[in-house]
Amino acid sequence: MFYISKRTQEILDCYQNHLPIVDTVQIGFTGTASERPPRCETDQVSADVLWFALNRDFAQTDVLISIQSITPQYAWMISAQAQPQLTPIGAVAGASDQVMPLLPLPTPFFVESNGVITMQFQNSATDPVDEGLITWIGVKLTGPINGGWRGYTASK
Amino acid sequence: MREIVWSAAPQLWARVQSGSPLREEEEALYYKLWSDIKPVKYGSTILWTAALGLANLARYQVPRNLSHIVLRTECYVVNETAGAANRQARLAPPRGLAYWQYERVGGTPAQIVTDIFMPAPVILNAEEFLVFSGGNDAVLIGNFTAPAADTGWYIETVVYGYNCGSAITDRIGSNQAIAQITGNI
Amino acid sequence: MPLLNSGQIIGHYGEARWTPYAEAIASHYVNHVPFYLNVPTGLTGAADEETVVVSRPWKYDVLIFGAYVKGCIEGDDEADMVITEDSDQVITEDGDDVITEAGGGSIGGCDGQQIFLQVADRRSLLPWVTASPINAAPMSAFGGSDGRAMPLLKLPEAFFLPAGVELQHNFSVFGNLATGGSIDWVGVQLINPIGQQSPKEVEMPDGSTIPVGSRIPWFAVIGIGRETTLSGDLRFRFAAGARVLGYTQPVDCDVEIHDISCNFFLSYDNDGGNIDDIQFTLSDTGNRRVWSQNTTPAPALMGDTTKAYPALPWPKPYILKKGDQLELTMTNQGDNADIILTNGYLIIRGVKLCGL
Repeated sequence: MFYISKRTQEILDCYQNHLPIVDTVQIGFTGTASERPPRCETDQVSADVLWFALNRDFAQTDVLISIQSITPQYAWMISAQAQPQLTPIGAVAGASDQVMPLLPLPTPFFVESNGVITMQFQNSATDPVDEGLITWIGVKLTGPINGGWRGYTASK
Repeated sequence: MREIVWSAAPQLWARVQSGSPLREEEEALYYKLWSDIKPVKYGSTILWTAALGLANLARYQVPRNLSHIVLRTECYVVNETAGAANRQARLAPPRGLAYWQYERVGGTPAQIVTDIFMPAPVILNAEEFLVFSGGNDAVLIGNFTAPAADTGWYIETVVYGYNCGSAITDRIGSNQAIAQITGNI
Repeated sequence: MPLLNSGQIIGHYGEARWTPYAEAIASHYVNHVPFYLNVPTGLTGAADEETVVVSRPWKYDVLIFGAYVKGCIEGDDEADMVITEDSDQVITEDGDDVITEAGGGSIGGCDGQQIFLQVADRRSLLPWVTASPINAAPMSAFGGSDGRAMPLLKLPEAFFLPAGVELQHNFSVFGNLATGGSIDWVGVQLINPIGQQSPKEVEMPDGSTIPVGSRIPWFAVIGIGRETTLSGDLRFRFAAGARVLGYTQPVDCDVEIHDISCNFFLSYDNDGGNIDDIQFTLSDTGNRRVWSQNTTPAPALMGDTTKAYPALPWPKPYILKKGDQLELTMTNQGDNADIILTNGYLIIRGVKLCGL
């Protein structure tokens, strides 16, 4: 299910230990249509992490999401419109009523120690969600060899 | 706090116990872990008759980018009725149930953490070890029945905890006690 | 590089690939021929039945990759009844489903979730499923089934079954009645070994040499909830609001853990429950840096027979060290006291890095 590309293998090779990590984040929907609750974040981890896949605990497909990472600071979603629209959640996270409740990312994403992923959600306009959880599945990288992987800031 | 640091880095404790001084990198680790801990207290005083059914006994908004470890809860009932023989005496926690849950900004329930059918004394007057993520409210909920007497009884709650960064929580957080021995079968 | 020569397909969401162990063994043979081994359960519908079925030995070495299962249960003593008064009619339209609890004859009883299996080859007699708690795992953890997203479920590592060696299967039921059913092992016959004899050792990509037969499947079963009995039958009950701890059996050698399967998505859904309410945290008793801060809904951690991955893989296999155990905190976030998860099991699957 998960594809370990050459670059992903290069990252894994910079660490002695690869531990499973699961992070479930509370979204905080209140059941109000089209609401935008405050941004939520993954937990800080005192190790580098490779995030692989996402799951959500609600079925509504017209919930929208925008993802940004901190350390490294990258935006993930583009909507080049005069009125930009966030990304439908179904393109990003699997749900329990689907045959693939866990949807892999196009490529595993590397977050440095104490870095987080922040998410802005917008609730469904037709069938609003109450509460809501989003789960990230990844690999925690401990025992860095020569400082671990620093490819984002590598000079070559 | 020192016990938390020793638990997170037992090699430091072992070295101190053996009578040897800490090496430079061990000392740096000690101070790093020590500075990752901030004690916090919170709680409430509410009239028992106003707290029937579900009531928020304690709420703490865990700062973003940090985790919160709950270590101890204390809850007792105090009779403030003028002239009462046991006025201001600290009595047992109220009858009912109690549990911890996450709430988001604005009081929206987000995820229940402990058993909602847990008898109150197990949660309200106990050592604890629960880790709450930042960016959420850690909320202690009581679900109480009516007091024997109508007026003048107050429920006082105090929670002691530490705000810790990932350096601490990543080392000791796995021991957190989400599952308690419960009578709910 | 994909082994199968099927064009430049670089699949991301699952591609056909052999493990290095399977490739290393298969490369010692000239001919590879598909292989399907059908093993009927022999169950006859008696209460608390157990059967032992030994497969016929085959004349060639075989690599077993996965399985397909078929196992219907007829209903248990908690089966729903449709109650009508005199002269009432129950009217349904064409195509309507009458939904009963799992075990009813209508929906949710035919994927092997409540028929249990223990497997061992008759040469080593090393069992695949851990002895605790029930010395068996649901058949749905071994194979996919008909009409589901994935009819075949592959083992974490290919299993080498030497020529002339039988596979022993112990089928059992707890409190349900089952008649018939089967497991079909799917794999490859290895014919004409190079050098006229089967390889004793193979070389791995990292240069190490391991004995053939040193990779045995490992299925660790954890019952979900409290262990109780009903009319003498074992039950696991997980009530709304409950929190329970569960542990795998300690391992006698290192295990590479690949995925997790469970057997309750369909039945809990049919009972009116929400499978996202069944939540878990995971920890390793031997490595406390493996842990999760909050509880996670089951579909993000495990697969079941209704999913494309009946056993949901971890991004990277994890080595559980000898003597260590996986600890699972299980929570039922549901709030309806009448909806109870009964006889749910989760199966942590991997491969033991030691065998013969």
